[in-house]
Amino acid sequence: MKNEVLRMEHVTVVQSDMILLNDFNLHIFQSEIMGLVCINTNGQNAMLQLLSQNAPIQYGRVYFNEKLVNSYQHSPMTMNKVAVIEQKSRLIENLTVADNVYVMRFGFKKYLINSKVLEEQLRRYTQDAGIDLDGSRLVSSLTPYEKCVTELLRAVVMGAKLIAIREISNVLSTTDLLKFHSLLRYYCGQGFSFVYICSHHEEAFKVCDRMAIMRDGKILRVLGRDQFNNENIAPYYIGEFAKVKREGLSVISDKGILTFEDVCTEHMRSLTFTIVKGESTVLLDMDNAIIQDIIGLMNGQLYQHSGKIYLKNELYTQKLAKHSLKYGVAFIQENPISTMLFPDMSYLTNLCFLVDKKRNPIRLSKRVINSIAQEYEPLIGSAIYQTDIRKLKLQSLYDLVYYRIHICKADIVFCVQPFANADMYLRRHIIELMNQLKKQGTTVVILATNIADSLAVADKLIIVSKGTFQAEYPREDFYLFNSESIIL
Amino acid sequence: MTGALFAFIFALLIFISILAVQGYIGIVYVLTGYASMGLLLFVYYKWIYEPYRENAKVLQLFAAGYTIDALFDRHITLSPEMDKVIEKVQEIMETYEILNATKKQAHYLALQNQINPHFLYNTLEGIRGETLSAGLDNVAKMTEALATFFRYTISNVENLVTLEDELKNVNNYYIIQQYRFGERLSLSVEYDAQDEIEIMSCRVPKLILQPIVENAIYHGIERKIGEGKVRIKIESTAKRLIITVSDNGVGMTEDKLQEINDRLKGMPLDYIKPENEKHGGIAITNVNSRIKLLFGEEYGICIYSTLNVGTDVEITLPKITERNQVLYEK
Repeated sequence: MKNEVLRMEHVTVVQSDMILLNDFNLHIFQSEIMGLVCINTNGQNAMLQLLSQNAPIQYGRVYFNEKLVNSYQHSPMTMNKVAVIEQKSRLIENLTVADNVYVMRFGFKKYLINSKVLEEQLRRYTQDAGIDLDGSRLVSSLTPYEKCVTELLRAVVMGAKLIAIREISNVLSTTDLLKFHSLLRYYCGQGFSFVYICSHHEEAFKVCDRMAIMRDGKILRVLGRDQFNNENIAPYYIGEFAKVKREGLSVISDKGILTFEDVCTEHMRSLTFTIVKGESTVLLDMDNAIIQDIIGLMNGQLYQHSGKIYLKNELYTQKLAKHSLKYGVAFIQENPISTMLFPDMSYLTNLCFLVDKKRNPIRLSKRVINSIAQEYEPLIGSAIYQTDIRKLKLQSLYDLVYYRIHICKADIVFCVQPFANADMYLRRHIIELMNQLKKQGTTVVILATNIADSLAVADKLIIVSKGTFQAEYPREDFYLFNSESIIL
Repeated sequence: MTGALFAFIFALLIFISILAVQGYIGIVYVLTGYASMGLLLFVYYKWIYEPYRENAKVLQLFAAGYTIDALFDRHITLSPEMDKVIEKVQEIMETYEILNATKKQAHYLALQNQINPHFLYNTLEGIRGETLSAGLDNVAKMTEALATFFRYTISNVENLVTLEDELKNVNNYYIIQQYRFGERLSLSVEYDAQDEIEIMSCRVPKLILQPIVENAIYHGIERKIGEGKVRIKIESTAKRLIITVSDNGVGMTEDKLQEINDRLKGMPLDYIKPENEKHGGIAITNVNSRIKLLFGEEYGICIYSTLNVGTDVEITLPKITERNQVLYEK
């Protein structure tokens, strides 16, 4: 007999005439990791909110431990014993791990706090779970993995019956993710239940006992562990990617456009690799350590302790790197919508932002802007004339980010975690945008901490572990990663 | 109305504040005024607005055809007259329900008499004997399955049976279908082996599984090219029995699925209406309505389906054991 921790039955949530959850059905048993693979993000927030608090619903019922806690007839607004761990940490940075775990939780009533007692109590938990984490450390000094572990410990100490894990692979490296998965399994054995929300089925396959596929606030199908295979996912998920046409190499060359030769920084240890011109390369950083160093070295904000960097067979110094765009080096940051766009500027002004800073700069005049608008309108559509970009859909904003680089005709573009926080439809769109850059002859380098989706656009995979080169795989060997990523 | 009340309270608070600023009244009066207004708002929200909203929602859902139980299961009474009206509605509905159930039962008995089960069983046994003597083992096996299937379907008239009996009946049905589909059709039943005795002794309404399996075969697998699999997965919790019948057939479109799920969510009496018989999925609607009528709206069927992938029918039932069976039969 199983213990049912959560049951959501025909739950329908409507807000401002928008259906957020549509006849949503989900049940989770004790000691189970239930995957929730979201094809799009619609309804995700509403579902998590409903897990935490028994807020009014249009129709349906919610049961916790087989007890009715919320129904369309009566929503008591009470809180449920549910913890949510997501990308954005809910910890207080200036407090210690022990304080965050014990003091900052519901039900803590002590007025005098003895740090040593708390740390000792925490040590018992960490020792049992095999976690190497000092309770006296400040949260601000923790790595993303350690922060996730702290949040998990807080949930465990709080006695949360259900812990929701949401999109953590965006902040955790591949190695850390594996460690975190084994922790989840450990706590599963202790009777805790998890709902593991992610966008990649490959990720859910690795850790979940069952998996539900969700789209537009509705569960499409529930799969048992014995049904975890790409064939069962294809109609919902991979099938969409099949529509994407893979872009072949536009420049056939064996010359390296970028070479790192024994480069050492704080996190790099004699890193050596070569990116070939025209090839899309995924640089997989297993420990989420060197991505920022690579960006820093390429834009001149960081100087290597030793080693050399060659760009188009010429030494690429910090001085040159400070004017990276002039030398054909461009960047697309993680979450580019919030980091690379100017919401108060029009679409066209945003689009032309780098035109006068690129190699062979063009002075921006009305004539130039009109000419750009005419050239890009067939690709972008009428959104190009939008004056308030806040009114645009996410896909149009991604168009803006990628076509801004397209206009610059950069030789090489570094995309940092391009698929992070993007739902399946957006990820497919990003692949198409990358293909546009590739078609133009731009070398695309994807800096990622996990390879899901990246291989769909890549020609080569370079794996970096502990700051040093580990392996290189050409496209022909991508089948080795079938269980990790979609390969077109 | 609410807007006007809030505007009045707000104006009153401003008026009190102005009087306080001009020195006509002391700060204690102002604070008392604010506290009283706060209390008044709280009382209004908790005792008037919230019950009104909950009642309005229940009435809307009843009118939309989503619920019956909620109408009779309200926590708050609006007025004694309203309560009497609802009581009367309940009375009328029960009569209507009994009337329909009686009609159905009469129809069912008439059918049963027409068939004359003993005559049918004897004939089938006769055929079986003949085929065995002729060495036609397959036909004998098929006839035996058919006789057992009819005996279970027609003869036993009790409401609740053990899950084991229900599964045996499904297996008989599968044996009969196998003669038609051959190797193309496979059936598997999955449950936790540790809980076998407990699961198998659970009581379920009679004939809830076979119609679902029949649907899976006729609407899902029959039209599919290649091997068809039907899987029955049984899970039990402290209070519920969850049975999932999955097939890898042709599935259905999103619109069709929405239509069926909406119908399943609706009132359990809807299926009796003759106009509903025009649409497909009668068997599922019928099983769902029986479950809801027997055990309440929180139980029933939910369907997941994707075109060209397959369909999962999830049946949620209360966990009825030999011990608590009497409670449900009452």
